[in-house]
Parts: sequence; structure tokens; C-alpha cells
Amino acid sequence: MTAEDVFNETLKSPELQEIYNIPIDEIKNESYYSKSKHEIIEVIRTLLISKHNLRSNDAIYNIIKRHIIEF
Amino acid sequence: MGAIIESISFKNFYNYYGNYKNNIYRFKRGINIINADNNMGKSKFYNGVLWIVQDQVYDADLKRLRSVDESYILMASGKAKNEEHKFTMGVKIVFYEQEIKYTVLKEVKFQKDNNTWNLLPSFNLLQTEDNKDISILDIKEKEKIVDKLIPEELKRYALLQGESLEELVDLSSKSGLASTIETLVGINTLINAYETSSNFVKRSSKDLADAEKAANAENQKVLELLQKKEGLEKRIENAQDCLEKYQHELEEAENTKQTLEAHLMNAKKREQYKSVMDKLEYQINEKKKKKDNLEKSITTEMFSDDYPWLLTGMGEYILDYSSSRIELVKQTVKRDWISEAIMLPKGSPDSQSLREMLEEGYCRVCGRSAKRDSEAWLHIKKVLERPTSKEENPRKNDFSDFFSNIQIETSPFVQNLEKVGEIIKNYRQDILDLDMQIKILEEEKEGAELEFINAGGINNKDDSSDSKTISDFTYAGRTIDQKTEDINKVKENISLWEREIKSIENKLTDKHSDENVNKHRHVNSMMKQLELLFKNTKERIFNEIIAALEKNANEKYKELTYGNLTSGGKLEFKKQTDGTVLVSIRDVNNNKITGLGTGFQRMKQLSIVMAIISSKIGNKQFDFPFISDAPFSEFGNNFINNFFIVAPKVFTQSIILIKELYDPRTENFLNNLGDQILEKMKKGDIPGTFYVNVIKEKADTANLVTDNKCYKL
Repeated sequence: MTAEDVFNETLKSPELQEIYNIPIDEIKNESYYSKSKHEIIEVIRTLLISKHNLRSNDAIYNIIKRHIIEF
Repeated sequence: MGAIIESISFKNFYNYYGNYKNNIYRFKRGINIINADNNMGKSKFYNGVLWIVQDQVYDADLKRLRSVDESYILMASGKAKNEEHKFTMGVKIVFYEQEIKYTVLKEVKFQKDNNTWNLLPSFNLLQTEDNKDISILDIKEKEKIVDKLIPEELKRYALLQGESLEELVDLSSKSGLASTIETLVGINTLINAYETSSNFVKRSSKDLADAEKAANAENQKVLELLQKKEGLEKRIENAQDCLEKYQHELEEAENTKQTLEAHLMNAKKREQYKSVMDKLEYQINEKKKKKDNLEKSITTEMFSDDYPWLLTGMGEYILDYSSSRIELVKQTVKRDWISEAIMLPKGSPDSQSLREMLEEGYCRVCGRSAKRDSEAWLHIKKVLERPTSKEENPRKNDFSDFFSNIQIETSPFVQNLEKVGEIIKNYRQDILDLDMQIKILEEEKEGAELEFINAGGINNKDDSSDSKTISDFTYAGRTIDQKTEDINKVKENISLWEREIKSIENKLTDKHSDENVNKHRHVNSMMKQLELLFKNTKERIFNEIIAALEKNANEKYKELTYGNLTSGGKLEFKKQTDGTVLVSIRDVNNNKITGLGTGFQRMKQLSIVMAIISSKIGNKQFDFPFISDAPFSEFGNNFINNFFIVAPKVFTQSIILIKELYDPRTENFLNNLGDQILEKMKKGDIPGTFYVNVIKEKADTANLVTDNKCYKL
């Protein structure tokens, strides 16, 4: 299961629609390779890409924190 | 993702004497068969792969893996060691991963000085991308690249040697299958993401607490709340450790209970069969006693007053006796008459006539005068007075009375003689019937004994172990109840403390609106959401795979056992309350099957692995080389044939080292099955390559040189 597979599987979570009110059509158009306009999806993507690129946990944490604060 | 081996070659490695180009195997996607008889390099080939991927070789004498450092001398070609003072031993694997070509070369230079070998190992790795060769120098980088060939966590599934197939999936442990699923499905990426997010939740919580402390350094009430929150978080952390421990203990107790339950079921069966055996034994003894008594009664019956068996067969003698007696009487009478009585010719005058003739003085026979005292008169008188009466004979009663008495005495027995035969015949039948009944009962008892032993009983019928089973089972049940209660208590506490934390957080949120704190709060909230999403996704995927596993595994099991005369049953997967899975084999009546042959057991393991791979998200194949040395030693031709058809659907590339297709008596060293498989490969029905190892010339093991013939590339 690749990082992209994990991304696509995580997008199937009902919480994205139930908690974040993201429309299903928009979820369907999300891609592992392009930035998302939804904060939580972008956080998921950032974590997976960074893990795939073997970034350290410290580095990933700081990247995500910055992302969230800047978003 | 995934790796494909392009070639493996050897240089002076065990039997593979000579250079790499003389000992090269080129491989493709699909099945790559290396068919070789014993001692023709299968395990040596496998050891070459082990050397490259984990710096170990399998020592067949010690039956364990050994570090290559301890084994270099053994690994070097005997012929090279005998004929050369300086040579290189090595293994080279060329593989592709994501279109990048890697050449891994592990070598040892051998040099003999004063009868001692000096060894110089080396490890080289060349990366070829866009026709450019880059020599990788960093040892950690090299190891990372070798790990791309077969990742560490997949080695137990990718590298199989004979009986290790039986341990492929740990079905004895409830978490064994779960761990296999996580590894084979590649769910590790997701697990890793989840664990990272959990770690980020903790970090962001700490950051948030620090920010809150900094923003409220003067506010004692806030600091108290923060301190309380920290205390609660610490408690939750400890409680979670406790929870993990209790869950582990609960799982162990449940495993024990399940094992004992099966044993206990058998204990009940044993009890049942033991009772049957005792009953049958009693019946057998009763029948034997009856037979014994019957046999003992023979003496009495021999001399019975009414029907003495002693007379058996006397009928003939009685007849003989009667006729002899009659004959004897006749002869006695005849002899007396002949010797003592005077016999008169036929038509002679009777006594009365003779008396009258004496009185008359006249012979009526000759018609002449017979005057008193004359010669004629005296002759008539002599005839009249001749001895004629039996009573007058002194020997006339000599044996008559004796024989008559015998006849009188024996006459009742003579009358019962026929009945004696009948009685003996019935007696014999009774004995035969008893023998038959004893035999039937003994067979029934043997059957019960067999069932007793099958249910785990031992010949001496000692049931003390059953008592222990019952007591252990009870103890396991109590442990389960206790641990379940402990877990529920801990969960309740965690839930309570989480609610308290939430309430503190709400109070803290109400108390201030520091921008920095709010940012950290938002980060913490996002991290918690992230953790929840990965956790739920992980659980959903696991559940989906489990749901599909039974169907997929049975499909694979059916394909692998197709055409087999014996039914291997049906695989049943039962999800446990803790989310793990138990696998068993059931027959058509849904009874658990145990004791299936090794071939079936290995097929079950392969089916599960294949089904898990087929349940993957994305590419439903095993993306790494599957290399197996002698996996089919317990398989019949049918299994082997089925494997070659099914395997390419599941394993992107497999290298199978096998002897079951070998026949030294044929020109091409293949048996019928080998010819059939090769034909299918040539037709393209089975994708892959086909090699046969041969021995160049007869030699002792140390000097053996293996050559290979490629039949299909």
C-alpha cells in the first residue's frame, strides 16, 4: 500500500463530510499530487508525502504545524 | 513499487565453479523454475540469495542460519579451493526497482598463504539510471538499497525453505494473522502514519500546555487547571499502559481457554469412550466366563446319567454288538446241536410214532416186523431215546445271560444316543456363538479405544491430565472475567478523565483568548483529527480485508487443491471480539478437521498468504521476488501443477527451486510433470523461465561442479 493509496483510502473517511462538511464531489477531485484547499486534507497529504520522502518526525511535525498556522 | 530480479550469478560459490558468466540465471516476471536433483545446487542457490539480502547462509548440518563470516570457507567451491591458491568467490544479483537497475555484488577474495586461507570480503553496489552507472559507497545506503529487493518485514514471506512454509502464518496466535495481514497488505504505511499522528497529538498537547502556561504565568487559577490537566493526561497515559497489559493478559487467557476448550471437549469425549470401553470390557468378561463354564462342564457331560457324551460315535458299535450277539447265539446253538443231538432225516417218524412202533413191534418206516428186544426194535428204541432237549445240554446258557444283561442295561443309553449327538452339536454352536460375540465386543472395544486415543487419551487411561485440563480451563475462565472487568474499569476511568480534560479545556478556552494559545489549540485539535482519521481508516481496511479473506482464501485453497482426490475441507475465518482472527478448517458438516496431511497444511498457509495478497489495496500482487527452496517436498504432482498455475496470479515473480520435476533417466532430465510444465511455459500458459541443473562430471561432494541448462527463457 503506497502513500498515495493511504491518501486515497483516508479520503474515504466519512468524518471528512460529517465533521468538516467537505462535499463528496470535492473529495473525489482531491489528488495526492496537488495542494488541497481543505486544511485537514492538506495536513494528511503533507504528512504522507513527508513520510514517503523519509523526513524525520521532528521535521514533519514542524512542517504540519506551520501549515496549520498559516492556513 | 516492488522489485524484479533480472539475474543471479555465482562465482566459485559452492558447486557453482567458474565465473559469473558460466553460472548465470536470467529471470522474468512469473514463475522461474530451477529443477535440480539432490546436491545439485538448489540450497546453494538459495544461500546465495540469503548472503545478498541478510548476510547469512543456511547450514544444512546445523539446521540453522549462520552468519556468512563463519561460513566463507564452506561457501567457496571445493574445486576452486583444491586447484587454485588465489580465487574469488561471489554472488551477483541484478534487480530493478522503480525502473532503476541495481547490481549487488558480494565477494570474498581467497588467497592461500602457508596452507592458510586469507579472506577479503567486499560488498559493491552499482546503481544504473538513464544508462549512467553510479557506484554507491555509503554502507547504510547500500543496505537500504538491498532492502528494496526484499524489505525486512517481508522476508519471512518472500524467502521460504521447505518446512518453513508451515510457519508462514502464525495461526496458533490470535494476533499472528493480524500481523501477517498488516505486513502483506502493506498497511504498515498507514500504521506508521497513524503512529506518527499519535505522536504529534502528544507533542501538540505539550506545546499547547506550554503556551497556556506562558500566557497565564500570573493567573494562579489557570495554572492550577493546567496542572490538573497534566496530571489527568499522565494518569491516562499510565492507564493506557495498564490497558495494553490487561489486553495482552486477556488475549493470553482467551487463547489458553480456547486451546483447553478443545481439549476439554475431548476430555468429555474421552470420558464417554472410557465408559463405553468399561461396559464392553464387562460384557466381554461375562461372555468369557460363560464360555469358560461351558468348557469346564465337558467332564460332567462326558459321564452324564442321561446323555453321556462318552457314547459319542458308539452307534456303529451298538449295531456291531447286536449283530455279533445274534451271530454268537446262532453259532452256539448250532454247535450244541451238531455235537450232542442225533439228527433224523427229513420225513422221519416223530417220537409218538416211534413209541407206537415199539409197542406194536412193527417198523412203519421199512414195513417189517420189529419184535421186542430184536435188533430192529432196539434201533427204534435208540432213535426214540436220542438226546433232543436243550435243558439237558450242560453248555447251552454259557453267554446268553451275560449279553442279555448288557443289552438290558444299555438299552436306555442306546435310545438316547442320537440325542447326545444333537446336544454336542448345540454345545459346539454355543461355544462358536460365544466366540463370535466376544470377537464383536472386542472389535467394538478396539473402536472405542481408538476414539479414546484420538480424543487425546492414553493407553493406560490415566485421566489425571483431564482433571488438570478442567482446572486450568476454570482458571483461564476466571482470568478472562477478571481481566475483562479490569479493562472495563480502566476504560471507564480513561473516559472519565478525558471528560474532565475536556471540561478543563473548555474552562481554559473561556478564560483567555491569547492568539498564540489559540493557534496551539487549533494545531492540537487538527492533530487529534488526523489521528482519528488514520485510526478509522486503518480499522476499516483491516475489516474489509478480513471480510474478503475467507472468500479469497477458499478460492485459492480450492484452486491449489483442485483435482485432488481427498477433500482438504473449507477454511473458516472467525473474527474475534478484539479484532483479530482465528482460522480453522471445516468439513462439509462444518466440523473442525484436524490432522490433515502436511501437503494440505502447507496449502492452507499458502492460500491464506495468497488471499491476503489478493485482498491488497492497489496492486493485488506480491511485489517482491518470492524465492522458495524445495517448497513441494510434501506435495503431490497435483498440488505442484496447481501451484504453477495459481502462483503467477499472486506473486509478480517467483523463483522455485525444485526437484520434483527431475528424472535422471531421461535425456532432458525431466519427468512427465516436468515435460508438461515446460510445454505450458513454452506455449505461454505459464509465464516465466525454466532451468535444469546438471552435474558436469561425477565427483565427490567437495569437487562437485553444477552447470545449468536453460529450457525456456
